[in-house]
Amino acid sequence: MVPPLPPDAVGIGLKPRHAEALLDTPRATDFLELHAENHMSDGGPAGERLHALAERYPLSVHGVGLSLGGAERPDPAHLTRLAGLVETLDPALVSEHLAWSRLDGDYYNDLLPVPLTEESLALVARNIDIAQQALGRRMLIENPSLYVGLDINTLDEAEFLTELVARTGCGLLMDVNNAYISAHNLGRDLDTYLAALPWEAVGEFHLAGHSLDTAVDPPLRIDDHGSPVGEAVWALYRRLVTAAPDAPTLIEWDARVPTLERWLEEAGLARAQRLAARPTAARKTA
Amino acid sequence: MSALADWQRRFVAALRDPGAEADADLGQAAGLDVYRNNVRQSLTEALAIAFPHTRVLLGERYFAAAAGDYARDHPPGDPRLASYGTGFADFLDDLPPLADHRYVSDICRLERARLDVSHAAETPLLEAERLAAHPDPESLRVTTRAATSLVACRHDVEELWRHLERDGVAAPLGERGGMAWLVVRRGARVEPLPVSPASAELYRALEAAGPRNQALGMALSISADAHGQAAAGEALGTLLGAGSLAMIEDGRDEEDTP
Repeated sequence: MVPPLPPDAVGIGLKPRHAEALLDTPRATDFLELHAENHMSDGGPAGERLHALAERYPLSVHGVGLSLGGAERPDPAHLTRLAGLVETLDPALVSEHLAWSRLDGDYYNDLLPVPLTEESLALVARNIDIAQQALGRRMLIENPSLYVGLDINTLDEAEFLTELVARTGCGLLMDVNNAYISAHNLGRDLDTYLAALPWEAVGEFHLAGHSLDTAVDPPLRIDDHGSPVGEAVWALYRRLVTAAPDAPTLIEWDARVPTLERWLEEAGLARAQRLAARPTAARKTA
Repeated sequence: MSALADWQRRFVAALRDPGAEADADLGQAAGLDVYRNNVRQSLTEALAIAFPHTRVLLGERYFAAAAGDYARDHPPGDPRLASYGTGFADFLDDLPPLADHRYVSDICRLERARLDVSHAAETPLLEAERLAAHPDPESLRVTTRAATSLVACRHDVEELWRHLERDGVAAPLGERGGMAWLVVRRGARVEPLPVSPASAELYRALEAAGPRNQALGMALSISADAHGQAAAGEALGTLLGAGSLAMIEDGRDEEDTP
């Protein structure tokens, strides 16, 4: 019996090197998030381990390759594989990105930026509709980390996301690190951006570390998921977490992956920050 | 074509050609560089994870350069990076500086096969006892297991492979020349094993025949014609012992169905 996802849960990403320890430790974390594309094998030991983990932990399936932000419809073969994975694992959450990565049969292994226009909005909404129908469930769409501002944008990102929620019924994955990075790199007013988001649709938070590339002028913040969460991102998380108090939080760590103990320690910090952000009366009854 | 598709094509062209001046509506050059580096570096890393022994043989810098060139010219067709690099060994074969080091692509092919086999579907294993006890073995639909692969190496890389596996370092090539390797998954382990020419012939014949009645008899004949009856019988023992054969079911194949 898969345990339910507790309210305001805090989870960590799933890496092969930690799988055995997670199987040996009863409920080491509230939930595990896995990158869908790393678990689309036809068989073998990795799949068997994943199914064993699915019996012990609530899961979040996080896709990185559906290319919802492109002009092309989602690749039917890939969508079928994703739907199969979701059906097999029955995860608590399924999410993807406001980004594209596929064009004319080639796959570019990154989350590339989407021009925010009315035409793009219609195409991305269509793609989310197709994906949600194939999966038979609501998806969460993650706000991107951006390195270029596009002059051709006619909508701002908060407007675009708000309209996607309205048109498709999708939820939002608020990546706090991405919001911070994009505001810095694009010179975007973070408060204005955050105030315009539809917070009632936020179904998950992501937190991660990033780096600062000072070799370019002006310096760019790089979303490399290779370090602990920075203080500025923690501060932003404390501000935002009360706006979606029941949304689970994930600590991402995809480069220079730490020990399981260190990662769980970071998840503990998120739990503490979350508690500290709650109103005093709520903390007393917690 | 939608304006979005046109913009995406120009964006991809800019990613692929860092020397060309990008259109202003694609964003600032420094930001484009980040996306370009992300794509190249993530694919190079995927190849480094898939081909650790090839990386040892080529050295860090040469491997990174070759993997970067491969990633630029051969982007993946889908986002499952575990299956990326199917053509990497062929790509290495065509690199002039490696003309005298073709054993590198032998090792590369073994690594690719090992990865493919580790992610392949499971199919019912044909046990030797089942075959021996069956009153009419040729009525069994015998084929190769999905979780197996045959790799034709052009050099004797047995010692080299063993050293790379055990110590992560190179060793001299053997003197037996080209040989076939059977890569098989048993439980959680995937092991490449050198096999005889008769075993390779039998495996290839079974693979080509697919799961059909009489496939085993036909494949044994092919192997026996080329290598002799005794070698073909021994080859069947090798394939069974390695766990490389599958049994679909007793019965008739489609061509037999009225």
